[in-house]
Amino acid sequence: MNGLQSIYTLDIAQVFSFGAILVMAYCLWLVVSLKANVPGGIIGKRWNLLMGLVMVFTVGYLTTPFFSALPEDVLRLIVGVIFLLGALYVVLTVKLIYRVIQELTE
Amino acid sequence: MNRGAVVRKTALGEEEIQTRAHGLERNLRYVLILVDGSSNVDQIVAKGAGMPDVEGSLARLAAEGYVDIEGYSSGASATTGDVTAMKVSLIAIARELLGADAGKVISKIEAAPDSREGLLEVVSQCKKVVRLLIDEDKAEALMTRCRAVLDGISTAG
Repeated sequence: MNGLQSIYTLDIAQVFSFGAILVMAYCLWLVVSLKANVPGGIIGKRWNLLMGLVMVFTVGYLTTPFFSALPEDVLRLIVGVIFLLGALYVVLTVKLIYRVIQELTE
Repeated sequence: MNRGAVVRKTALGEEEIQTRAHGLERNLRYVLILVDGSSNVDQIVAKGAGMPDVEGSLARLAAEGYVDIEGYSSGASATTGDVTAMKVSLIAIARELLGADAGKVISKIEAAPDSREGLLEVVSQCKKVVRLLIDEDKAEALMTRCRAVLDGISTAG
């Protein structure tokens, strides 16, 4: 029963990981294809940064199927870095939205 | 535009002839060269008979400050034709400043109402679009140059 539960848990985790990889790959496609519409300006400058972060996330997410093979300290480091970059991504996005609102309402 | 009005180069026009510093379009430059300070609009149109829309080019040159046309740059009221000429000028400025990225701005100007207020509002929106999506410095330059064109309408009205 415990063995079955472990396999079931592993499968669910893998499904989530693959789902996350697919969503991030879609996000990467979106930021790269929209770049042509945002050559510069306030959004364009931030867009390059966001694009870089999405690329890092995509690479990071691609490693998730191999997490079980990684030593625990390396795993903790990767998760910590991804969390930090995730927080940075959210801050950049919120600030960008704020600037856009400022520009449109001034 | 009064076709008997004498056309003269401004200091900016003289400077452009000497230095090409403002990168005036070839067609406008040819028309500017035809301005000798004593010919009127009719005579300049006749001199430039082989060239397309010399009168429209003169209106653009006046709007952008390269020439003074008696009774046009100061005095006559802004007609629909003048506003149309201003739109052409605004589009030319957008093309010159933004190059391949001018598409969105040009569509907005083309769709703008035929009034100074309408054009001013649209130019202001275009400035925001350029600031956000293209280049902050170009946004300022676009606004400054378009304002000069629209102030030409304002002083004419």
